[in-house]
Amino acid sequence: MAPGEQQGPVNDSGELHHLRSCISNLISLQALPAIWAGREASRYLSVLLEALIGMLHLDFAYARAIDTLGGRIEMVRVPHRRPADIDADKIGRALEPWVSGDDPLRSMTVLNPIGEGQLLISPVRFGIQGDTGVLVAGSERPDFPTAIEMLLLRVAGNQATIALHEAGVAARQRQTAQELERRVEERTRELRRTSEALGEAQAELAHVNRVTAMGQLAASITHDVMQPISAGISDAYAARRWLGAQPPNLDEVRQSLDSIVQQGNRAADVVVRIRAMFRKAPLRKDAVEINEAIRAVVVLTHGELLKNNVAVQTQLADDLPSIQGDRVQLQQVILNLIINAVEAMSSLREGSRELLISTRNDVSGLLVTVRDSGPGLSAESLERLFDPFYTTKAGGMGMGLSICRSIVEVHGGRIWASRDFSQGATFQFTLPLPGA
Amino acid sequence: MTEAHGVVFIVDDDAAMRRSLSSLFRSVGLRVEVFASAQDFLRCTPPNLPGCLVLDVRLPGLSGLDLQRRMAEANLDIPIVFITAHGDIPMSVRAMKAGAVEFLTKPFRDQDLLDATHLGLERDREARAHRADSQELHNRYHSLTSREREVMACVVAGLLNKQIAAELGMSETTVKVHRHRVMEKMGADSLAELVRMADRLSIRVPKS
Repeated sequence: MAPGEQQGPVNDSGELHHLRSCISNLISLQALPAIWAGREASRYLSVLLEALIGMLHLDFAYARAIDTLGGRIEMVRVPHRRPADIDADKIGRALEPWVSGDDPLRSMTVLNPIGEGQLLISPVRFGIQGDTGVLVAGSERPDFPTAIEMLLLRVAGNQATIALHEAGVAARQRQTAQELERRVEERTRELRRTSEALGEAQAELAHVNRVTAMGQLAASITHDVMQPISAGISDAYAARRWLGAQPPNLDEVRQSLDSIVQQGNRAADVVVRIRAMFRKAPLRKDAVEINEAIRAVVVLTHGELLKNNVAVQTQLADDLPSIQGDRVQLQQVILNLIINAVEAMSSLREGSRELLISTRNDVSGLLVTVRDSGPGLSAESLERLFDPFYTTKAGGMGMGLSICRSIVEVHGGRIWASRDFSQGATFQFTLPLPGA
Repeated sequence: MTEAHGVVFIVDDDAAMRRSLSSLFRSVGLRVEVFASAQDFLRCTPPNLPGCLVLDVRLPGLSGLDLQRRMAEANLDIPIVFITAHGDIPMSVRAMKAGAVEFLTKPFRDQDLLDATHLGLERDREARAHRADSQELHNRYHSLTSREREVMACVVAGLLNKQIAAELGMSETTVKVHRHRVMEKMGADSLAELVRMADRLSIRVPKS
């Protein structure tokens, strides 16, 4: 208040009451956006119109707006004493001439859009540039709108601007959040697919590596054995021709025969060397806890078992003594038996796929049993199963079980297979206890 | 059998294999030269005899297939019989496409190897004879004067002496003399034989 300006006494109790209610209304209006923060714009406008009707004793309150997402909202509220059969669209059309265009809006008397005769309307534009919507208050009171009522309407317009803006922000946030969620889900699905494909590729690679390594080994063995055999055979052919010559050249025959003996021995040496190579491997003699070794392999094959829908069960006896041996090689045996079982069971179209791995202390030492519910073994394959190069699998090398047998035997144990009369195959091996 | 039958070159890194193959070829009277590597073979000067190369596929350094390619690049035209302890089909197809006589997998029957080697020697003999013939023919052609070559081209094109005289701007008598000298120098007994020679020499017929 400027100095020197006279302050009029506020002694009129009606005026005071009016001011009080005006302040209270202002506070209410100011609070509205906060209360409805983040809700839908239509909800806010509806509450705002109700509030204005109560505060200003309006005969109707109309609002229309474009919400931030581009939707059109139009609504009308009337006091409860009025019949509610009025339609926002109809009123909107009736008010159109007074609220459209770019001209500043002003209060005026118009034909009552919701009843008889005329009434006064006071339109207010809102939005940051007045372009978000328009609010129209209508009253039959001849003094409408008073300066205070105009003030309240303008404040209401400002609050509508804020609320709609916030509603828009919230809506956009929701939309962004939803989009984000959708993309996260999509990405997760993609990652899952990639991870599955990767797992398959890894399994395939491991298999190819195994087969390739075996193939290379086989090719190398073939070459090393074939070379002296071929030389010996050529010597024998040559000897036969020297003998058949006229006269026979016995000196050449003798040389050829010497060479044949040499080449025969050379081939035998290669075979001995290969055997020694396989035998030499388990030089390690560690204390091996067989149960712990089995558990590690089961963990390792978890993915493979899951993928093939195989339920694995272990019955590992407590208090088994540790044995002396090569942990990695023994795990290779177990791994081989598990993979064989999984492959056998994967040929089953129906029926449960169960794998039981058990250990116990037996008279002959530790007994490890791997039992599957696959198609089982034929009597013929049962006999030859552990022979090198014998296979019942398309693409199998026929080396897996043969190597298993070598490993078990090097550890002083025995390995065998048996048929279950019901279903499936059982592979068992023993490992002698230390001091046995 | 004598050395005139040809020489067998054996390239194998396995000494025992070289020994036994050498013995086998010698037992049928063939001359043999052995090499432990492709490089050793490339360094040698082959005797001027029909030859056949018995070549191991797997060799240290240059492989047998590499050697085959090198020889083709160097126009070293000796028939090749491949031997291998572990041949596969693509490898043998490759070798045969590149002109190998045979691709044998160890151990092979002696007769198969000898048959293939004899086939290779026979091919080389024919190729050598063919090369010698065409060398002789070229020598004779080069002994002609340029005038005689012109006359020869017209003769093999089927022109009459009169036409040749007009074509080359000389008298018919001179044409006859040149024609006689051409037949003599080329060693042709008939016009037909001269035409065949011209064909082998790829002499172009002048447009009249």
